[in-house]
Amino acid sequence: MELATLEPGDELPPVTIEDLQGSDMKLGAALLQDPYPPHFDERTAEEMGYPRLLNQGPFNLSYLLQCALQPAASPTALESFDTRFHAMVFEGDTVTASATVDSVRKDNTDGKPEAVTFSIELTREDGTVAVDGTATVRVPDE
Amino acid sequence: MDPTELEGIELPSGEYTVERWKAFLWADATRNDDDTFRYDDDAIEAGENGQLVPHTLCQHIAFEATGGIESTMGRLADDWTSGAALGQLRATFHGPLEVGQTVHVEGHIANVERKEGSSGGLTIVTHAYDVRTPDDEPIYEMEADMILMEGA
Repeated sequence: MELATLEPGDELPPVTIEDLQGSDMKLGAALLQDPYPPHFDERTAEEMGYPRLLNQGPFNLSYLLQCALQPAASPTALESFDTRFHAMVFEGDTVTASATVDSVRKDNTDGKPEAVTFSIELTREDGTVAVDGTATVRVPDE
Repeated sequence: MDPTELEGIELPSGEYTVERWKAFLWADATRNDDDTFRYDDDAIEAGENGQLVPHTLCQHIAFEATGGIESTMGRLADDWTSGAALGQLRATFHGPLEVGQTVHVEGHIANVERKEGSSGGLTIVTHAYDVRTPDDEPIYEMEADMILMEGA
C-alpha cells in the first residue's frame, strides 16, 4: 500500500476503535483544558440527555487521520483536512474510520503523483456517520 | 452579545508551546499507535527532527494561544456550555508541528451566519487562525466553525 500507486476508488484498510473509554475522554478534557461537563462528568452528561460521556471532536478527527495516514512514512505528510461533525460519539461506542481515494494530484510536468486526497468517514456501530470530509496526504519525493 | 456583531473582530494574538508530555498523553488518549508522537528516536527514524505534535491538537493550540477555550467560547455566548458545538474544522499544514517549538498565532472571526436548522435557529461562527514559527514561517492555517443553538 504505497501512496504513489493509489488510484481513485482505492480503499485503505479501515481502522476500528473499540469500546471508547471514559477515562480517555477525561484525560482529553484535562489536556485540552476543556470545561464542557459532558466530556468528564457522568451526572451532568445524563442531566443533559446524553447516554454516557461525550467523546471530543478532535478525538474523532484523530481516528480519521490515523486511517488516512496509514501509507505515509511520517504524519507530517498530512497536507490538509476538511471535516464536518454530524453526530455525537459516546463512551462505550465502537467507531470505524474509512478512507477512499477521491483524487490524485499530479505534477504538471512529469505526471508524478504529488498528493492523494481521501474521502474519509467515521461511522458508529449503528451505521450513523459521525464525521466525514476529506484529507490530503503528500506523496514523498522518490 | 449578539454573535453577528463579532464578524471581523481580531482575536488577541499569542504564543503556545506543546510540551513532550502533552503530545505523548494526547496520542495515548486518542489511541494513536504512532510513536513519532511519543519519542524523538521514532520521529528521527521517520525523517523528522524530533518528537511530533499530533495534528489534532491544532485547535487546542490556536485556542490556547489566543486566550483559551473559555475566552474563545465565552465570547460567543454567556452560557456556551448549554448549546455550542464544533460543526466543521479545516486546516492546511505547511510545516511540521514539533514538541517544544513555540508557535505564534493570530486569529480573527472570519464569518458569522444565521441559519434555520432542523431543530431551530442556529448561528455559525467561523474562527480563522494563522500559525507561524517565531521566524514567521507558516506552519498551518485553520478554520473552525462553531455552532450556537438558539434557545439552548
